[in-house]
Amino acid sequence: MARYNEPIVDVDIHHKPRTDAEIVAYLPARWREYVAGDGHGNTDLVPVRHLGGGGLTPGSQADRWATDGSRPGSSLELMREQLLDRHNYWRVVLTHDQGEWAALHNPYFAREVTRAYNNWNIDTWLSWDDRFYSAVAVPNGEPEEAAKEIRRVGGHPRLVSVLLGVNALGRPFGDPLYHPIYEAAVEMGLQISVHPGPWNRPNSTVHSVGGGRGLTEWLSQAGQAGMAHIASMIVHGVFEKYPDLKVVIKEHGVTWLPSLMWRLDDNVDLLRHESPWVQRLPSEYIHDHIKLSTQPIEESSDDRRGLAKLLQSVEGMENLLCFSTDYPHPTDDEPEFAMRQFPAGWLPKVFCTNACDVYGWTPPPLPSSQRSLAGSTR
Amino acid sequence: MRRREELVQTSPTSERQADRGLSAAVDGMAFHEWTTMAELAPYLGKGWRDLLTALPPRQVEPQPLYRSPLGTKLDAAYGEEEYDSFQRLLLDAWSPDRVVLGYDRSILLTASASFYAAEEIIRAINTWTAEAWLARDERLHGLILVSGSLPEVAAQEIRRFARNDRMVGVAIGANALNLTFGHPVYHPIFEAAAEEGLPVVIQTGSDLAANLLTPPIAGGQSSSYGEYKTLNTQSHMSHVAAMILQGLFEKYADLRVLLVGGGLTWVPGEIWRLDYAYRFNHQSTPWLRRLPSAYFKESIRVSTYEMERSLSNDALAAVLSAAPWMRSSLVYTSGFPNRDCLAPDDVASRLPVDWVDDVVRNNALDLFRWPEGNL
Repeated sequence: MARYNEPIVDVDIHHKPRTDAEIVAYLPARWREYVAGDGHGNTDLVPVRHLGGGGLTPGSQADRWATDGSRPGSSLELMREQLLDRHNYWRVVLTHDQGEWAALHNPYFAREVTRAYNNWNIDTWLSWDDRFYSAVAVPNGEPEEAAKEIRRVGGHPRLVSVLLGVNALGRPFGDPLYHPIYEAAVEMGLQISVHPGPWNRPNSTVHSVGGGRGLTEWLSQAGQAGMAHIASMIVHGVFEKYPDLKVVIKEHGVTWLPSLMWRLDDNVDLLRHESPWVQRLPSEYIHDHIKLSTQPIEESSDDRRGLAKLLQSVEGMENLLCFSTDYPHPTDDEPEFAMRQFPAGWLPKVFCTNACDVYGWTPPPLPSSQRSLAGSTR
Repeated sequence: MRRREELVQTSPTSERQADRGLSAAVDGMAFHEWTTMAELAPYLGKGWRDLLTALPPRQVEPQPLYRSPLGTKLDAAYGEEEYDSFQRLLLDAWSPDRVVLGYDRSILLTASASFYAAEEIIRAINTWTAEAWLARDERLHGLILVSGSLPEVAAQEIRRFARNDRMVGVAIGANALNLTFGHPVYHPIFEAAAEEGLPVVIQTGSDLAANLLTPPIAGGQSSSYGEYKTLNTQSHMSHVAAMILQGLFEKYADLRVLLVGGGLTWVPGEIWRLDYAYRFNHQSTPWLRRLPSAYFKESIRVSTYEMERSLSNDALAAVLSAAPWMRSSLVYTSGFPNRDCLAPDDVASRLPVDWVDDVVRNNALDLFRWPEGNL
């Protein structure tokens, strides 16, 4: 029996169309022609990845393909069967494949593709299941255009977030150039999702000092950019400027967060000297504005309780984590696996109420035994 | 952090260590630095000497991307000859058994675009260290500074000091070829170090040279020094991942690496995550025979400089209890005379009691291959 049987919120599930033609149908005629080209399919809707695509361990994603050949994340039936109906799913935040369109080299195409994805998302997945919520796709390389798109569709009741994939301006996400996105998000009552992707370019690096060569290096170090984005948002005063803004850092891992909090606080003198709008201790901004999705959980290879020991070294860490599977990607975490990694008393928060806190949802009724474990949700 | 005044007025560490029954500390790295080219002139070849000492001064050393607006050195370390303050504030006050001298500003030379000139200056710096500094106190030991720009030249420089027992390690400096240190192009350096039995030291800050094409942190350029300093650990992360996964420690099993300047709380998560990623994709690194964590535990050491200050001793104990093998990994390094440097007692007072002897002394003796016992 699972350690937690109450309602689950999963903040990072990747959904996509069965074929790109579904999205192309939403593009204006001029851009449909652009994609069609000479008819031999040379233009992708997603940017070129410097590492290429594909799975990790051969066959690791095999069971995520539907029997009719639909690619992973494109079959509602399979997602229900493998996840939503197998576990006690209450709500899901669908995050597209990764939100990488801002890295398309052609910014005009990026605008149209994100707009098409948003329209498709509303017409399809968000109308298919009451449990589905999602994020607005934006071309973050053009923040004013992104803000327009947020205002265009952000009023939809199931769109609860803005999805920032690769940092298309080559600057971390605290930079003032991105602030129109945050302004629009706050105005529309949306939160921010930051998601990594394998787009290690000179202007949008995922790794420091030229690292990330090869898939294992990339995967093992994918947390670095998340650290930088959090530091950047604090240093640039994003949370002083937008006190209602909340950010979920997705799929960057969790083990680096305690160290980042201490290192930020270590340097508070410098940060205040250089950025006078850093008024509180940096870790306080993290407690109030940041959450991390749990996948990929870096299970300790030292001892079974290692991860919990590390996370428990920060008071209040149980309020900062939101469960996610990353379904249907090759490294997705099964709910039962994730449940084993955290202290039992954390599970109601990690699996449900922390996400409710971010998205402003009234938590579903929990049995009294679980409620007392969860405590207040602010 | 200790206030600077306290550092100056502190009683000799040896007395307090005696109270606790501790043996004297071994300092895995304090910084020493030359000030003008005139100081290095005697060690430069004639042609280079004429060129590099001519006025106006030639800029061979790259600019750093960021500088601390609050300064970097202890106030007390200003205003006298460098060796005098080194002797007064470190050797006399803290009474270490041995000190390894590292490089601070000079580390940027290893990324110089004028790399032929830089190689000559680096050679001079090494000779200057060996002759001008090591002769002053038998407790002092040096690192051979090398540049990754010309790995074969670096290997020759390492072998030049093969018979000098006082030069006890290699400071590799910047990723001058814009590749992490796992890349085979740097192997001649690691090969020479492994053959000579010298550990290789990688420092944060060496990635700050403005002409490097790779940014020192992920996610785009930081806007401030404080942001960079918070995240400077990331260069260690990338180098560790690359060195282990690209098989450096399979190729050179005796090689040891010391990471300096990035603190230590990042280590457990980094190592678990390497294991995690490896398990998913081990087929693509068939040259590895063990988990990444096994290579880390055996071959990589982590300096106590600059250990994170804003966590309680209890929280630090929790981190260390999550990765108890770090007892063999941590090496006391003072980081003197930087403003965040730590006396041996400062470090000892933060660690679990039974870790202190290993971290403050034994691990450095092992790393630098010194026999047990005082000088």
